[in-house]
Amino acid sequence: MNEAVFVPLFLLPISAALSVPVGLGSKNIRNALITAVFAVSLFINTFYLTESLGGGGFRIQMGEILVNAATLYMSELVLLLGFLGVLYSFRYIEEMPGNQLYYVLYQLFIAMMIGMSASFNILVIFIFMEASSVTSAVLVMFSRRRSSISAAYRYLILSFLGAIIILIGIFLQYSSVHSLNIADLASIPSQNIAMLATIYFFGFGIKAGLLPFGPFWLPPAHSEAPIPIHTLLSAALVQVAAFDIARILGNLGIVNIGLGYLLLAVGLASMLVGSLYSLLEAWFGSKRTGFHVGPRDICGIKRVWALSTISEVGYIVVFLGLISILMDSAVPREEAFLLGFGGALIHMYNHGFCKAQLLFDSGVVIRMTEAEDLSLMGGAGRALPVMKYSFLVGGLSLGLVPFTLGVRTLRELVIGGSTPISVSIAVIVTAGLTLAGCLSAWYRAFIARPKGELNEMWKVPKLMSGPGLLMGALILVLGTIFTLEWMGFRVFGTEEIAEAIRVLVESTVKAGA
Amino acid sequence: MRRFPLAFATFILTLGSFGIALAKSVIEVFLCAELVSIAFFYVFYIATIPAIFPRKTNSEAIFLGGAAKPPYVSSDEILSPQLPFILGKIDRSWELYYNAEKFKPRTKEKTN
Repeated sequence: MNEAVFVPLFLLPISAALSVPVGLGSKNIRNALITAVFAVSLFINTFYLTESLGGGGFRIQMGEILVNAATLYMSELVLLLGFLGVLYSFRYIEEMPGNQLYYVLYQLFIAMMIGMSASFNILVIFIFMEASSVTSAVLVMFSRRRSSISAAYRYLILSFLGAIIILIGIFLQYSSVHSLNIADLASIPSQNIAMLATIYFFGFGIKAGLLPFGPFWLPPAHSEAPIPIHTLLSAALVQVAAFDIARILGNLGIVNIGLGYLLLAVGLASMLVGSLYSLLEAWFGSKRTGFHVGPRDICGIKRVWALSTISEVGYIVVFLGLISILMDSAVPREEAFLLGFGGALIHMYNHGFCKAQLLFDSGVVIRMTEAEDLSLMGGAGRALPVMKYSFLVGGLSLGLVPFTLGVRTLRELVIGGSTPISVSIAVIVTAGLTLAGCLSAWYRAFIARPKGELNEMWKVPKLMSGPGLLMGALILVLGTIFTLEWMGFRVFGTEEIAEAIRVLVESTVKAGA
Repeated sequence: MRRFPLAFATFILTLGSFGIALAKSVIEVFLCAELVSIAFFYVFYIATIPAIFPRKTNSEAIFLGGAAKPPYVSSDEILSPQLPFILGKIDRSWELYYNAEKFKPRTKEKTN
C-alpha cells in the first residue's frame, strides 16, 4: 500500500500526456483534470509526509527511486507551489493562444523536480536535473518576447555547463568507489573527497544560481519567464538543487573544514552580492546591475526578486558551510547537523513561500499597471487595498523579521550564539539590504504616484489573488509559532516540529533514516 | 495526425520514466534515461528549430536530418523568431516591458 507514495511522480507525466487530447476537446475539462491530479498528488504527499515525520525510518524504494522523509518534504514544497501556480496559470496564461504545450511541460517540470529529490543514485538525479532544464527552458520562452528566447538560451547553455561538470564528477565517483549511489561515497579514498565535493558543489551550484555563474543566467531567465514559471524556478527549482547539494555533501565531505570554508565563502558572497544587486535594481535598474537581455534598461520588479534569489540560496549554503566549522569548534555532530541541515531545510521553505507570495502578487500588480518596469508603475495600492499590505509579508520574512517564517534563520544565524560573529554581521547586512530592496519595490509599485492609467476595469480573478494570500497566511502562522517558541512559550506543535526537523536532517543524509 | 509525433514523444517519455523506477541494474537505468533524454530533446527541438528558423516550419523534417534543405538564417530572422509551439505570433506588445497597446502615460513625455 505504501507504494502509493510514488503516485505523484507517475501521475503528473500521465496527466501531461492526457492533457493534450483532452484540451483539444474542452479547456475546462483539461483544467479540471490538471487540478484534480495536483490535488490528489498533494494529498497523497501530505499524508505520507505526516506519516514519515513521526520517525521510525520511513523509506520506500522502487528501483532507483527512493522516497524518505526529506524527499517528501521537498516534494511537498514543489507540489504546493505547483498546485497554486497551475491555478494561477488558468487565468494568467489562458489569454494567450495555444497553451497546450505549456500545461504538458508544466506538469513534466513538476515531476522532474520531484524526481531530483527522490533518489540516492547520482545518475538518476542527473537525468531528472537535465530533464528539468529542458522543460523549464521552453517554459521561459512562453513570455513570447524576443528577450525571453535569449534568456532561455543563456539558461540552457549555463545548465549544460553545470551538467558537464556534474558528469565529470559522476565519472570520478564511479572510478573511485565503483558505485553511483551517494550513500557509498563514505568509502571514497580521502584524497578524492575534496575534489569530488568541489566538482559536485559547483555543478549543482550553477543550477542553484550561486556565484560565480548564477548571475549570468538566473536574473534574465527567471525575470523573462511568465509569473507561474518564475515562481517555480525561484521558489522550487533552486531549493531542490540546493537540497541535492546538501544530500550529496552530507554523504561526502560536509565535515571537511576546507570544504566548509569554501561553502561559507561562496554562500556569504552570494548573500551579499545578491541582496545588494536586488536593492540596486529596485533603485536604479538594470543600467547599474547588468545581466539584462531586453532591448532597453528597466527597473524590473521581477528582476528584483530574481536577484534576491541568489542571496537566499546563499543563506542555505552558509548553513551547510557552518556544519564543519562548528564541528571543528568541538560542537557535537548531532548539534552541528541540526543547525546546518535543519536551518537550510527551514530556510528553503521560508524562501519558497516568500518568493511565491511576492511573485503571485507582482503578477497582479503588473496586470493592473500594465507595466513590469518599476519606473512606469505606481499607485497600485489604490486599486488593490488588501494586497497593498499583504504584499509586505513576504518582504518582511525575507528580511528575517520576527513573527514571520524568516525568524528561524535570524535565530539560528544571528542570535543562536554558536555562529561566528563575522557570519552574523554578514547575515544582518544581507537581511537589511533585502528588506530595503523589498520595501523599495513595494513603495514604487503601490504607493508612488502612478505613471500611467491603472487598469481599474480589470477585476482581479480570485485564482490570481488567492495564492499570494495563502502564502502570506502560511508565512505568518508558521512565523508566529517559531517566534513564540523562541520567546519561551509552549505553543501547540512545538515539540512535533522539533522532532520533525530532527527526522528531516537524518533523512537528508541517510536513505533509511 | 499533425500532433502524433509530440504524443509519441510524450509516450516514450512516460515509458522511460516508469522504466527508470522499475530498472534492476545500472544498464537498464541508463537505457531508460536515454529514452527520456531523446524524447525530451525531440520535444525541445520541435519547439526551438521553428523559433530560430521561422521560415522552416517543418521542424520534424529538420530534426530527422536531411529531409529538409539546410536551414539558412539571416541576422534579421534570428532575432525575430516565430513560436509555433504556442500557435501564435510573438507578442510585441510587451517587448519594452509595458503593454504598448494599453499603457497610457499620465504625463506627456518630452520629445526631442
